[in-house]
This record gives sequence, C-alpha cells and structure tokens, in this order.
Amino acid sequence: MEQLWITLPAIAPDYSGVCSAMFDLGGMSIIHDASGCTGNYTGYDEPRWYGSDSMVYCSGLREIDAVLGRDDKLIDNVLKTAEYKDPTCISVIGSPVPMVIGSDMRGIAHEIECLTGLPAFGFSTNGLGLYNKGVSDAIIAVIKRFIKPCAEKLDKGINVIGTTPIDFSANSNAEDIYDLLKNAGYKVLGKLMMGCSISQIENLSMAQVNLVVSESGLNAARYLYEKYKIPYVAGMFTGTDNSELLELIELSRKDGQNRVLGQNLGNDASEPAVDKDEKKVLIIGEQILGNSIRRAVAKKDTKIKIVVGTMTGLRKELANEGDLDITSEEKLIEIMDSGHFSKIVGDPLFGDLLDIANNIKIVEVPHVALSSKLYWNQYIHYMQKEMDDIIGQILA
Amino acid sequence: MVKIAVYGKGGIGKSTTTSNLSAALAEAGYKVMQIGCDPKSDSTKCLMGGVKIPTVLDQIRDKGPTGVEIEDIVFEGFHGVLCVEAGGPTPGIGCAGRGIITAFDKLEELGAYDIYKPDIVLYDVLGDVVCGGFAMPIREGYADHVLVVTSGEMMALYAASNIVSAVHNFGKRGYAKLGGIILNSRNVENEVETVEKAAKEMGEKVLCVIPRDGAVQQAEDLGKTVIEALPDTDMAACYRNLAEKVLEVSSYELQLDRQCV
Repeated sequence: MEQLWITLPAIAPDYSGVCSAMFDLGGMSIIHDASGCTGNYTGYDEPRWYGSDSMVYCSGLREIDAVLGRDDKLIDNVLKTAEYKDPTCISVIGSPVPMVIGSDMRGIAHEIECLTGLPAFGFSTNGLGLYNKGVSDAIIAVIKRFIKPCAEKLDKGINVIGTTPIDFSANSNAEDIYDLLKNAGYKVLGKLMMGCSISQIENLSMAQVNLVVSESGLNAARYLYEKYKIPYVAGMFTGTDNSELLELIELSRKDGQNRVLGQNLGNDASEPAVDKDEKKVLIIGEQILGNSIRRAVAKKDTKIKIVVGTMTGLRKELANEGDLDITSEEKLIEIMDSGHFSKIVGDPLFGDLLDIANNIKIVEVPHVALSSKLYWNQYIHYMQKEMDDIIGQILA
Repeated sequence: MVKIAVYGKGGIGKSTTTSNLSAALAEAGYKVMQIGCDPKSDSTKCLMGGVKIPTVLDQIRDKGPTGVEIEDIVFEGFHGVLCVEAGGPTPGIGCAGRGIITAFDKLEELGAYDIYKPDIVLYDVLGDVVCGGFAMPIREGYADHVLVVTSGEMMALYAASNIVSAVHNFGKRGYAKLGGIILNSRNVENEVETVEKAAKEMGEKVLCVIPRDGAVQQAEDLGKTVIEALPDTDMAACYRNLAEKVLEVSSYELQLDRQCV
C-alpha cells in the first residue's frame, strides 16, 4: 500500500511534462487518451493553458478503437488537423491505455512524419511516470532532432535548461533567469523550454556553458556535454544575491568542468559541526531548487543542517550525503514524524500531513507539480525579495 | 549488431530452427543472443541442455521490478549463445503481449545489448503479429530483418502471408524489413513449388529449404540442437547453410559493425 496517496494529490505525470516542454515550440501535441489525461494537463498542470492558443489536443480514444488497434483513426485526425493548423512539429503522447495495449507511439510518429513531412515525435509516456521524466524526454528528443553543429562558439553564449511552469509557474521566474544572465553579459541562446523556439534549439551548440535550473534539464545537459563538450552548472538563482552561481557559470565556461551548486565547495551545508540532537530543516521539492535554497542559507549560517528531499526521484549526482528519496506519502509522513526536523520547506499542502504535536513549522514554497492551480497565481518569485524572505524564515 | 525476428505459425518449428541457427552462427564465430518471446518460454531449451531457464517476467514477479539484475535473466548456453526468455503472465490472465514489452524494456533498462555486445540477436516470436506486444520485436530500434518460417501447408502459408503483409504495412513506421521465408518442410506434396509460388505472390523469396529429417527429433530428445548433438549429419550442414544465408541478409549491418570497430 506504499503507493497509496491519501492526503496529497498526485504529482504531475509524464505526459504533462512532455506537453509542458513542447508548449512554446509552435507544435501540435496530441495526448492519445479518452480525455481524462488531457483534462488533467490542461486543467491542472498548465498555468498557460487558459487563454492560450496552443495546439494541445486529445485523441478521443475509445474502447473499441483500443481493442481494434485503430491507430489509423488517430493518424487521420492528426493529418486533418495539421492541414489547417500549420504546426512546426507534431508530438503524439501516450497515456495509460496505449501503454497497456502496446501502442507504438514512435512508430505512429514516424508514419505521421512520412505523411506530413513535418518533424514528428512519439513519446511512450504512460501516466505512471512523473512530469520530470516527460520534460527530460521531450527536451532530449527536440535537441537530438534540431540541433546543428556549429563552426565556432559564441563568446559568453549560454543555454538555460529545465524551465517549465510545472517547476517555475507562469510568473516571471523563467524570464528573470534570462534577464539576470543577460545583465551579467551572457547571450542566452536557448531558453529550454519556456520561451523556446526551434531556431533556438538549432543554435544550442554555439553555447560555451549550460545552466541547468531543474533536474528535468540534467539529462539534456549531460547529452550536450558528451556530444558537444558544453559544460554545465546545475543550480538556480535564489533571492537577490546570486553572485556565487554566476561565478560558477563563469568558471565552467572557462575551464569546461561541470559543477553542481552546493557541492564540493568546501563549505558543505550538509555536514556542519552541529550538535547531534539539533533539529534539521527539510526542503522538499524540485532538487536543484532545493540545493540552491540550501546553499543560500548555508552562506548566511553554516550551522543550520539542511536536508533536501524530493518525491520525483532523487538524482545521486545532484545530492549531498543524507538527502532523501521520498518515494511515497507514507514515507514522507514517517520522515515528518521522526522528530529529526524542526522545519519543512515546501508546498503548503505538506502542512496537511503535519501532526500538530510534532511542532514542525512549515515554510511555504508552492510547487505546481503538486498543488497545481491552488497557488500558481501567488507563486514565489525565486529571484526576488520573496525568496530572501523564505531564506530568512529558514534562518529564524 | 544485427537483430533478426523469427515469426511463423504456432508449431511450425520456429524455436527448433532459431536454436539451430543460433548454434550454427555461434559455431561460425559470432556472438549470438537468442530471445524467446513466447509465454511457453521453451525457445532456448535445446541451447541450454534441455533445461528451461528462468524468464524475465518470472524474475520481475519474484524479485520486484527494481530487484532484477542482468545475470538473473541472461544465461550462457551452447557455444556461448546468450539465452533469454521473455516469459509470460499467469496462464489465462494478464496480457502476454504487454508482457513482451515489459521484458524488452527490462533488457533495455539493464543494458543487455551494451553489456554483452552480441553480433547477432535473434528474437523467436510466438506465432502471428497478433497485437502491439507481439509486434514489439519488429519495431524501430529492435529487429532489422524478419524471417518467416512456414511449411507448404495451407494454414502455415496463410499465417506467413499475414505476417508478411503486417511487416509490409509497418514499413512506413520504420519497422524491420523482410529478410526472407524459410521453408521448414513437412513433406507435403509439391511443397517447394507451392511455397515458392506463395512467396512470389507475397513479393518475397524463399531464403532456405530445410528438409524434414529424424535428426531434429533425435537431437531434441537429448535436449540439444542438431549442431551440438549430431554435428556431422546432413541436417547440421543444412542449418549451417541457413546461417550463411542469414549472414548474407545481414551483411550490411555486420559490415557497419566492422567499420565501427
């Protein structure tokens, strides 16, 4: 019963991650489902949906079509729609039923591409994976498809990888990153994926460095490092003092080494000299943002011990010792009841799991992936004073 | 690496043919992996001395989806042939087609092809392309070629024709191409002519004719392939001939491998 989520809502699924990543490319995204999955994405995981003219569609899969394997109906509908919508590319995206009947989403995309001449992508998402995997798969697919090798690098060219509203909301968070880099003298080539275009992806290889701002962007950054020798820094700007991350970006740009903010800096927040019984702070949410908040706190007070936990799969290469892979609501409750933590930093909905007797304070940092539309209109501006206040609450 | 899927009507001799083909290719110096894609999970039995190996789905069932290691599912048989059985669900329930997909995903996830680096992978697939799961071996990224085993009997030819037409239909999806038809003789009257005529109508050719011979049964009774149990017989020579034909079909992919090396 470990997978039973009683109090918390389900985290945004993989197909929402794909759609979210593809949203700004001017492409057509078709979720192959009966409508529930599409409704889940448009209604709960995509703050940009309302009022947008983005081409996100539901295939309207019916039982008999699934039984009879009517991929042809899906393909015909895609062709008809593509004819008058003129998309830049087409994505066909799986859901639980296609997964169970073994629909070949890549094969269907191949067929659509042959018939339309448009770049088409097939994603074998199944609704059981989480949004970060969907975002990651989509970013890698478009990079592999559109990137062009470059003759020479652009001086101070940078790509930002991993922005989607599921982690950043639709407020100015993504634009704030691009603006800060621009003001620091960088030329932002690729805004992956908020504000992205196919022409940007074509020129990604001109960058001298990549900034990975969420775990969803890590695999793409690793691919770009292996294939195009572009080093990456995994970190997010937090609050109004962002000099350290800018320094790391500049170091990586110059020496070609990959770096993770908050790791191997000789002042590791996870191992301060503290009393064993002293209570710790637990940050739960997106791992790179969690690391970055931890680092911002550690710069002001090295004695506060902070653990980062994530419910979307802990990446070892981003983690410090003692960080937590929180695989279920049950496990999260156990951690909260363990008596080891005095503060939880994370989505306000975690407050519903807190036992008043434990006297744990919650520092609220909403996460669209979990609380969806409940807080997406009052989302934290990560790089503004609101985040300084969050850091202040952790320090208090 | 070249990947080849073997299809054909149930009971036509796919596993016997595939196992002997694997053995002959291994004997010729190639590193071969044979993957049985049938819930009966007896494809590789004659390469493993008559012993059935644990299947991928058995191991997932016993050890949990994250507890399976590569050595739990890949076993070395005759002449180093790497044997895998996808397995199936509990008979009568579950979904065999989906089971094939799960087994393939697990092999991919564990990096089976990268770890063992086989020159040739043979997928021995149950019967017809009945659903998405049983089409998995011919999808993009899996088999490069499809071999269809048939006899001169009408039902076998009918199944072969269905498979060939499915493979042709899937061409626009970038799936595997037909490598040819293997006639596994049942001593039907005018069998070679009948199958050649049918192959022509399907737009394909007969790659190899395997005669009916008691040596096959004799070897199977010993839990072995003919190549292992009766290496000097005409039948063993026949399977070696089939191996040569398959290498011809695969020459492009094998050539690419050599260029990479």
